[in-house]
Amino acid sequence: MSGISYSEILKLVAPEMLVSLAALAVLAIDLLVMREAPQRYRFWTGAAFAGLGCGLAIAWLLAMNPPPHSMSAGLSLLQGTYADDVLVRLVKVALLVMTLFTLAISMESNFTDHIGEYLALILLATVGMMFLVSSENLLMVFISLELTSLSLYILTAFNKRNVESAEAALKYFLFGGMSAAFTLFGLSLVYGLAGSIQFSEIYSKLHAAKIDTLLLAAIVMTVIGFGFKIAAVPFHLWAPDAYQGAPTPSAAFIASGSKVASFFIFAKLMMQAFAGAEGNGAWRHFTPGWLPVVATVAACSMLLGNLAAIVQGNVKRLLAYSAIAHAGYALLGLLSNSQQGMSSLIYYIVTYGLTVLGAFGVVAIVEERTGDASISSFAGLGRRQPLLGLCMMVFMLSLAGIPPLAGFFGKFYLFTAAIGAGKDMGMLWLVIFAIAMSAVSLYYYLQVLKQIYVVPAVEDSRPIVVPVSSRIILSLLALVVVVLGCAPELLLGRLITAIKLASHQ
Amino acid sequence: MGITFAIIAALTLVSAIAAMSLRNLVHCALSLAVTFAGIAAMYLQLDAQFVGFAQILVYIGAVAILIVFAILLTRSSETPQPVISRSWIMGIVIALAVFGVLTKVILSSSIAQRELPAKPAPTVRQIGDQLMTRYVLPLEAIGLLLTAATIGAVIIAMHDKKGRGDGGQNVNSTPSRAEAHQHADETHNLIT
Amino acid sequence: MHIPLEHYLIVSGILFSLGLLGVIMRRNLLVIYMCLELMLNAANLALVAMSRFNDNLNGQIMVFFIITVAAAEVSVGLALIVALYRKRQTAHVEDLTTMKN
Repeated sequence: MSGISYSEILKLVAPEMLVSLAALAVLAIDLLVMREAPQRYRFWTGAAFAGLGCGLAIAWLLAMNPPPHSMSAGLSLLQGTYADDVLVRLVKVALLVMTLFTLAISMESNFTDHIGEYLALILLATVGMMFLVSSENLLMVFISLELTSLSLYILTAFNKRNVESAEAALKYFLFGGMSAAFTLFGLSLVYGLAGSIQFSEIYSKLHAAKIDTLLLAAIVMTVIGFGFKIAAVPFHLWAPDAYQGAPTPSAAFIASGSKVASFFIFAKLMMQAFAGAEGNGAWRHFTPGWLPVVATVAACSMLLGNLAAIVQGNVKRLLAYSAIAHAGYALLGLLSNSQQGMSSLIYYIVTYGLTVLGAFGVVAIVEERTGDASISSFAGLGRRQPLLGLCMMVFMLSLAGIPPLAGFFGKFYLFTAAIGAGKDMGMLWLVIFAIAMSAVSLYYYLQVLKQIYVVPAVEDSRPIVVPVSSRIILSLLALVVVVLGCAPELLLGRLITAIKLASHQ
Repeated sequence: MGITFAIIAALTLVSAIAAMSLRNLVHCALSLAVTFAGIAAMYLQLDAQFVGFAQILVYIGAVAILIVFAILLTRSSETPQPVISRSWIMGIVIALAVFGVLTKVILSSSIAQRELPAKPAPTVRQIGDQLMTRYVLPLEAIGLLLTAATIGAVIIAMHDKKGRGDGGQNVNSTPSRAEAHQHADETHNLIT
Repeated sequence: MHIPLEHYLIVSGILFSLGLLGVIMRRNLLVIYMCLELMLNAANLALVAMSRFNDNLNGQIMVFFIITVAAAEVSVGLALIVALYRKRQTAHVEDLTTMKN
C-alpha cells in the first residue's frame, strides 16, 4: 500500500483541480466582494473567473503530454479510478468548451439572485463530467455520475420564481434516483460475477467465461440506468419536463455536456468492460448480450422521440423530444462496436451538443423577450432579429441533418459505421429505420423555421434587441456548426488518431 | 446462524412492505428505519462491521430522521385522498416481472454455488488504507459532491421572501443567511 | 452452517422489487422517495454480500461511498420536496402537472 505519491496524483488531476478551484473562487468572490454590486456585474465577474478556470484547464490538457501508461506508477495504483489518454483529454476539452458556452449563455439571464452558487454548481457539474470520462472503475463511474446529476438537479431547480422549475427538478430527481438504483443493482451483479470493479479486470473475467444469465440481467439493468442519463426511451419521461421547466442555460447544459459525458462512459463501459458479452443484434440473428438490448433501446428512442416531437407546441419540449430521438441515432455508433463506431459516436454527440447549446441560446433570448418559449413566439423572428433567425436556421437544419452542416456528417458517419459493422450488414434494418425517422424529424424542425421566416409576427413586430455578447456567442456557435460540417476532419481526424493511440496502450 | 438470518430477513422484508404500503407517512418512515436496521444487521452477519455501523449512523440516524422532518414540514401525514395512484396494476405487473426475472437468474446462476471464504480479519483498517490510497480520488470527488449538495440544499430550501424585486437582493439577506447556516448545519450533521 | 449467497441476493431482489412497486404505485412524493431508498439499499445489500463471497473489500468500499452519496442526495431531495410544498401546498405526484401541452 506504500509508494503512493499525492503530489503526483495532484499533478495528474490538475485540470479537474483547476476547475474545482475556480468553482470555489467564484463562490467566494461573489459572496464576499460582489454582494452589493448590480446583478449584471456579478454575473460578468463570476463568469469571467469561471471561464478563466476552464480556459486554464483546456490549456493544460492541450499543452501537457499524457504520461505513457506503463510508466506512471500513480495511475496503476489508482485502480482505474483515473484514466488519462489522448482520447479522454479530447473529450474533456470538448466538455470544457461546452461549459464555456453555457457560462456565456447564462450571462445575460436574470432568473436568480444566487449567481455565485449558480456558476459554482455549473463548474462542479463539469468536474463531475471530467471525472466521469476518465474513470475506468465502477465506483468512480457511480460517484462522478452522482456528482454530475446532483449538480444538475440543483441547477434545474434554480429559478425560484417559477413553480415549473421546482417541479421539473423534482421529476428529474426522482427519475434520476430510480436510474441510480437500477445502475447500481446492475453494477453490483457485475461486481459479484467478476469480483472486481475495474473495467480491465471485469473484461478479463467475463471474457473467458460463458455468458451467465445473471450477467444478462446485470447488463439490462445497467443499460436501463444509463438510458436515463442519455434520455433514451425506457426512462426518457423526465426529459421534456426538465427541459421545459429548467432555466434555459441549465437545460442547455443538461442537453449538451452531460449528454457527451454519459454517452462516452456508456460506450466505454459497454465496449471495454462488457466486451465478450456483446451478443448479436443483427436482424434474425439475435443472440443475447448487450447489443440487442441497446438496439431495442435505440429503435424505441428514435420512434418515440420523433413522433412525440411533432405535436409539441413548446420549443424547449420539442428540443427535448428531439434529444430523445438523437440519443437513438447516437446509439448506432455504440452498436457498431468498433473504433470507427466510437469515433463517429463522439463526433456526433459533440457536434450535437454544440448545436443544441446554440439552439437553447436562441430560445433563452426569445423566451426572455417574449415571455414564453412556445413555437408561436418565434413568429417573425427572421424580420425582428435577422441574425438570431439565421443562427436558429443553422441549428435547426443541422439537427435535421441537412448536408453542409455538422449534423449531416455526424449522421452520415454513424450510419456508415453501423452498416459496416459485423457480418453482412446486420445492422442495416436499424439504419434504414433511422434514415426514415430522420425524414420524419425534418417536419418539426421546418415547423420552427416556418414560424421564423414565413409567419408574420402577430401583435408585436418591433425588432428584438440583443446584446452584442450574445450575438457574438451565437454566431460563433453557428460558425462552428458550419465549419465542422464543411471540414469534419478537423475533429474527426483527431478523434481517429486519439482512439488508435488509446487502444495501443 | 440460519435461524438468525431467517428472523432478520423476515423482519426486514415485512417492515419494507409496511414502509411501502402503509397509509400514515410517519408509520412508513418508522418501518423504513426498521428495514434499515435489518439491513445493517445483515451487514454485520456478513462480517462487514464498518458499513454496518455506517448504515446505522447515516441511514437510521440521519436519513430516516430527515424524512420524518420533511413529513412534518409538508404535513403530508394526514392524507384524505386515496394513497394509491391509478397505475397500480402496471406497478404490480412490472414489480412482479422484475422480481420473477431476478429470482430466476439468481437461482440459475453459477454465483449461487459459490463457497463462503474463510472469515476475514476485522476489515476497518484495510478499508481506511484503501480509501487513502487506491480510492483517494473517489474520496476527493465525494468531497465535491457534498459541497454541491450543501450549496444546493441551502439554495433550494431558502425562503425567497415575497415582494423581493429583481434589484433588492440585499434587503433580506440577514434572515436568509441565518437560515442558510441552519441548513448547512443540518447537512453537515448528516454527513458526519 | 452458513447462509448461501443466493439467500442474500434473493432478499435483495425482493427489496428491490418492493421499492420499485412503491415508486410506481404510491402517490405521495415522500413515500416514493422512501421506496427509492429501499431500492438503493437492496443494491447495497447485494454488494456487501458479494464482497464477502468474493473475498475482497471493493464491494464494501463501494457501499461506504453509496451511503455517503445517499445522505447528500436525501438533503437535496427533501429540500426540493419542501420547496415544492411551499409553492403548491401539495406532496402528490398527480398534482405535478403544471407543464402539459
